[in-house]
Amino acid sequence: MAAYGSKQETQRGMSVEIDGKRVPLSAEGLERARGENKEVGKKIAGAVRSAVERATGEA
Amino acid sequence: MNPAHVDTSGIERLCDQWENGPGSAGERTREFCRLFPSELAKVRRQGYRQLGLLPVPIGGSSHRGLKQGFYMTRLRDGTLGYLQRRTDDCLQAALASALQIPANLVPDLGMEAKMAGGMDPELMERGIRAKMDPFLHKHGVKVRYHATPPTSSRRWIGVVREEDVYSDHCLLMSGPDCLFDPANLLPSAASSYDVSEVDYGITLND
Repeated sequence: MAAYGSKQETQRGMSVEIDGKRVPLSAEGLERARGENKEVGKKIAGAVRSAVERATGEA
Repeated sequence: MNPAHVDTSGIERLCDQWENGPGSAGERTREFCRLFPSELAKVRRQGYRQLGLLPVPIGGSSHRGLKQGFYMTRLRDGTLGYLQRRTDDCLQAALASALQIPANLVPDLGMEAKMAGGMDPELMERGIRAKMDPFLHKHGVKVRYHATPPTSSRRWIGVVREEDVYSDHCLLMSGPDCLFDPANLLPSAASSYDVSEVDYGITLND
């Protein structure tokens, strides 16, 4: 894939939405999010729990 | 299914360790990235049928797919969407979904581990090309990049840029709609991406 020559163009992301903003679950994204939001870890755990509740509620 | 029957305490512990555990902040973050996928796999494994997930058969064995954490889900157009196993494999999952090739047969680029190991970005890029090019050639896939999202294409990969390096994200698009977000933790966590958020597009054989 030609664009792989540029290091910014290789994608990998998974993200979780917290307070209406997506937090990439990459090391860099998490570090930045932690700098902006002290409780981001707790909110990630909450987002996973909410996804389970939505999934099981719909099942 | 009662959500109380799905134990998410492993993820909760991991998040707590990331915020409050021992070691430097950077070390804890790398550890979080390393361990999050296996904790997510545990959550998915507990109730995959009820959660709308299907294990990807590996060598004809669904059990092996389950063990390795490869899941797929039926999309609204009847095709299969392959979910990410880790935080760094959206390209693998998006290619699998776009091409309808089981995700375990698409090269695993292992970027997070390479970056954590301090691999030189240029070397990593070369390694990625060495893995991807033969795979695409083998399947006769011609890749085209579109600076403007190709919303007239029936199926394409939309890339959303993030401000962090190597944090861009791939979505499976159909025309102007997001058909599938491989990063969904569970199928119910529907993607909220809109085509206006897509920065550029990739078509395969189109």
